[in-house]
Amino acid sequence: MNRRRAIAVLALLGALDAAYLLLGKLGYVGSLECSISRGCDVVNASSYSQFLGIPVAGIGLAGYVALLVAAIAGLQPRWLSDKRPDLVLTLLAGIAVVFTVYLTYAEVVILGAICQWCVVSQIIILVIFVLSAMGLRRSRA
Amino acid sequence: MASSQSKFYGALALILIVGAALIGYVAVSSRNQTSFDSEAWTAVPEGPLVSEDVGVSIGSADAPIVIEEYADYLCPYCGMVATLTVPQIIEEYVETGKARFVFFEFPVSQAENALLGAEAARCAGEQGAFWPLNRVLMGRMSEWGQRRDPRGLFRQYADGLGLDGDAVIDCVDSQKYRETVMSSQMRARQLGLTATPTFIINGRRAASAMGFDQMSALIEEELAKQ
Repeated sequence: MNRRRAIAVLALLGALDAAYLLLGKLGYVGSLECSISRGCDVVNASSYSQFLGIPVAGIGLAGYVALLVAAIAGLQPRWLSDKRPDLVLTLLAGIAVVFTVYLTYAEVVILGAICQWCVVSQIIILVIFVLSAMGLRRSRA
Repeated sequence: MASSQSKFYGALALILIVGAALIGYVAVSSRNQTSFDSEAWTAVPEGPLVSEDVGVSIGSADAPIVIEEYADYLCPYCGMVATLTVPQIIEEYVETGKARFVFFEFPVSQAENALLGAEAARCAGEQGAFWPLNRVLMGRMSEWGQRRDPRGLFRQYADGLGLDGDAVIDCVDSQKYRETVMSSQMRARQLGLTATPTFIINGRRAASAMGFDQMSALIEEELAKQ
């Protein structure tokens, strides 16, 4: 239960992080300039900040909300000892990790810029994936 | 158990409210206001200031207003002003003799491609086409900026402008303008600049991207003093 709670908290933090990046992408946060200290300007304005025409921060936000819902559902009494929430969480987080690897590659190798808020999201999703996978293994055992 | 669950949901709600409030605060406080901020600006005196001659100038030497732009070829906001604002400023103020416009490279992105783009425009200058290639590079940064090697596209753009594209590429490869571009960046750093695009209009700094109306208002402010 504590693991699913931890995932819910992390997913909420990830959703807030993604919401901040999405607002930046849409021009509601931040000024119209590129500064030495903020790689997010370069990353968030590049073509890699969109996937199939959708801002990746928006995809991230949707993903984190889905993880949050799955984690909270897994905390309901009837799902507590069920392994399906762990399966859903691992699957969602796994897809997100693959997507994150692609974005990190674009960020570091192609753009040569680091966005600290993207790094926060990368760490959060990795931890969520590890926690979900641990839960899946435990429920299988 | 039920109480522990409610405490947990309470904690989640608290995180959501605090997080949303923080984002809201940042959104409100970062509302962009374009104006001169010379009061907050102090130059960083590290050795003698790199001469203005390192920039690429257009307009009459006697013009009462000098507009300096510090830009990064990979900064999307620089691309925005290069295509939407600067051409009209040049038409309305530079070509009429009211202002002189000087462009300085300030590659804040620290990316190699930003330097290559800067060099390509300087190289096009040898064929009298700095400004046309500058505008193309700024307008199409999303196309060439992310290429592993953007030189092929530089050649295409130069050829498209009726230039000798191979000569531009040979010039880029020779890195003959690398030192000039780095000096331009040094000047920006000496002036204490940290972001692009930054405009300095008759010695007064105005940071961030702006439209023609905003920049025109700042220029008129300076013209009124003449």
